[in-house]
This record gives sequence, structure tokens and C-alpha cells, in this order.
Amino acid sequence: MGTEHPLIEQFALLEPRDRLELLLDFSRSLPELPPEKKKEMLEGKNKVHECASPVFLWVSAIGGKVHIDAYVDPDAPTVKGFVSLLIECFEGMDIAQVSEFPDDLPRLMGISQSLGMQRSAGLTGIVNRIKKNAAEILRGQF
Amino acid sequence: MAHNALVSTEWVAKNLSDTQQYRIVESNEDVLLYSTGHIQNAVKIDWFTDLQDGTVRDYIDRSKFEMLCSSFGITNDTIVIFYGDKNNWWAAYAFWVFKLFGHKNCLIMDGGRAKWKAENRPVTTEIPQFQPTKYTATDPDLSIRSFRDDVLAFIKKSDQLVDVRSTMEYEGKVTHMPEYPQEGALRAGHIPGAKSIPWATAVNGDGTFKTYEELHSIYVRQKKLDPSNETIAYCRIGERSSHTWFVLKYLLGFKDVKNYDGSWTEWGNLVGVPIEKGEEKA
Repeated sequence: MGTEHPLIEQFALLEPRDRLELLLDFSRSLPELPPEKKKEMLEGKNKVHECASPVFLWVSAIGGKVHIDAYVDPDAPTVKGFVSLLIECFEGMDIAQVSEFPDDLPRLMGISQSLGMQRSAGLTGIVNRIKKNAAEILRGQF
Repeated sequence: MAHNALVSTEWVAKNLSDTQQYRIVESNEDVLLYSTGHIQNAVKIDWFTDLQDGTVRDYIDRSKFEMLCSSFGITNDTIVIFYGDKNNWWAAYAFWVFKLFGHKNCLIMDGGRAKWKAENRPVTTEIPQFQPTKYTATDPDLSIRSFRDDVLAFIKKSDQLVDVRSTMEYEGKVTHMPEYPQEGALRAGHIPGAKSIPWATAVNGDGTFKTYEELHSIYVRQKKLDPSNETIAYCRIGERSSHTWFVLKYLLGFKDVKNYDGSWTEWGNLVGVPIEKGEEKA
């Protein structure tokens, strides 16, 4: 996979107003966090500090393919939608390919104009965190 | 209370269907939060997309503000009630912008979104439609706004500069709150002579504002602010300082309060301006 992904292209082709609508749709489809991870979350583990809103991520590899669990504060639907979108993009991807994923997703999706620099940077931080975790898993495998 | 600028959730619940007299405005940190459910008849004003200029670091101009109000069916006589997430930070921010352009009647719903939800009050995803109205704004009222050079001059003659950031930011231990890494600056510390009064001092755990007596005890007795003298508040981008500006002016009745919206993202990146670090001097 190169730097393009059908979902990202889908966003970029929409009208700006509709991009945020789509992000809102995604926020509603974030899978529920498994119970054993809920406990870790309540202990403050796996928090993404680059983001202003409470976001917790677990990146793992199952058979060399990426799997992500996440919890996002329900009062942060923009972030929740973005994380939900990321999970859909990454789920099942080869872990080695995650590093090729672009950092500046908000800009590629065409939503950084609507969000502003600060909020966009927070979302970019989430992408970076996933890439970093994936790289750590890869190193651990060799 | 010195001023009647707060309404309760109960009051809003009773009056929300009177869209002739009242307009409820929701302003949040998250641009999509309104869409997940809001008070019936409330319109959304996003601090970034609706109140900020897209090119120059500044608020929107008078004509954009007029168009915004017109689109929401707001007239010059409409009583506008603001509420939002994050302890009403952004509600205070929007309130301040409305006052910048001279809107007469502005109120804040005490406790904001959090209190409304905590009380299990109903929300809707229905977006209200209003007929466009005629709205005439004033030119920006700069008696509530401070700029960089105003602050440079102010600190030479007054000690009523209020830094509303966290203690760690004030002392220069960090350049930004841990949760907001994108709002860092090249230098850490505070504007010389500023008093450290974190914004959260003004609210209770549930986001409601403290009573007049409690606020008076903090800001006037303990921190020795004189309500009859000019006071300037700042934070990092001007939203927490809008919150404190509201407290000082509308809850404590301070005569002359200004928001230095450039705040630390400007001062901490400005070549050559004086900076102090460490604890507040006694």
C-alpha cells in the first residue's frame, strides 16, 4: 500500500461540510473497548498524550497484521471519528506497511481547514503514535 | 451577585421554546460535539471556523459577525445565552466576541453542557432554522481587548495583570499544558509582574461558577485585585482568559477588564519581550 487509501480519497473528494459529516458517522462506529482493556484504560495506561482529548490506544499484531483497540472520550466526537477511521484504514494491514502511512492525514483528508492547526496537530499525533507502536512491535519481532 | 449574567439549566429548560426573545448558542472545543446532541433550538458557533479569521490571526470582522448573527435569526435585541463543553471556556470566548461587537444582552448557562447532561435533560440532533434578520454590529469595542503593546506599557505601571494558566505554565516549567502540545511557545514563564490565578479557581467541580462571596474572597481579598482599576487577563490563546474576563467583569463587577487574546502563544514567541520564571512574588 502506498500513501493513498480509498477512505482518505473518499474524504478528499467530498465537500468540506460533508467531510465533517462523514467523520461524525465514523465516530458512531468505533468498536467498543474489550473489558480487559477497559481496566487498563481506567488505570490511565496507553493514553495518547499528543491529543487534547482523552484517547487510549492499544496496537498489537495478530499473525503479522495490525489490530487496534481504542477508547475515546464520547465528548470528543471529532477525535473519536478520526480514530474510528484510522482503525478501518489500518485493520488487517501488514505491520511493516504501517510505517508507510502518511503522517499528515488531516491535511490529506481535507479536514485541517475545518479543524484549525491545533486540533489537526492533535490528530496527527494519534497517527504518529500508531506508527511508533507498530515500529516497536516490528523491532520486537526481529 | 454584582451582575445578572448567569442563568440556570432550569431557566433555560423553561425558556428554550421562546425563540423570538432568546437565542441559545452552543460553543465547544470539539467541532462535532453539537451534532451529537444539543439543547433544543440551540445553534452552533464554532470558535475556530465561525469566530476566527482564516488568514490573519484575529477575530472575524464586523461584517462577518453581522452575517453570522443574521443567519441565526439574531436581532440587536435578542437575548443570547451561551453554553458549551470544557467548563464553558468556549461559551465565554463566544460571549466575549459578541460583546466585542456590542451585542447588548448576553448570558451564560451556568454549568454548561456537562450540567445539562448530568441532569439528564433532553437533547436533540434537530438543527433549528431561523429566518435571516437585520443585524447591525458596532465597530470592535477595544475597551475589552488588549494587544501586545498595551501589555508592554501596562506592566510598567500596574500589577493588575492576571495569568490564568496552570502553575506549571506560569512558573515556566512547561510551555503548554500536557494535553495541548500544539500550543507550545519557544519560551516558558510569565509576563513580568503578572498575578497567578488559574482559571479553575473560579469554578466548582461541576463547572458552575463559585458564588460572588467566594469569588470576591479569592480575587479581591486574597489576590488583591482592585475592582476599580484596569485589569488584563491572559492565558495561551485567549479562551481561558475570556473565562476569567467574564468572572471579573460580569460576576464581580470589575469596572475595566480586558482580554489579552494574543496571550502566551504570542508573548512566548515574541523576540525581545521580558519574561519572568518561577513562583509568584509575594
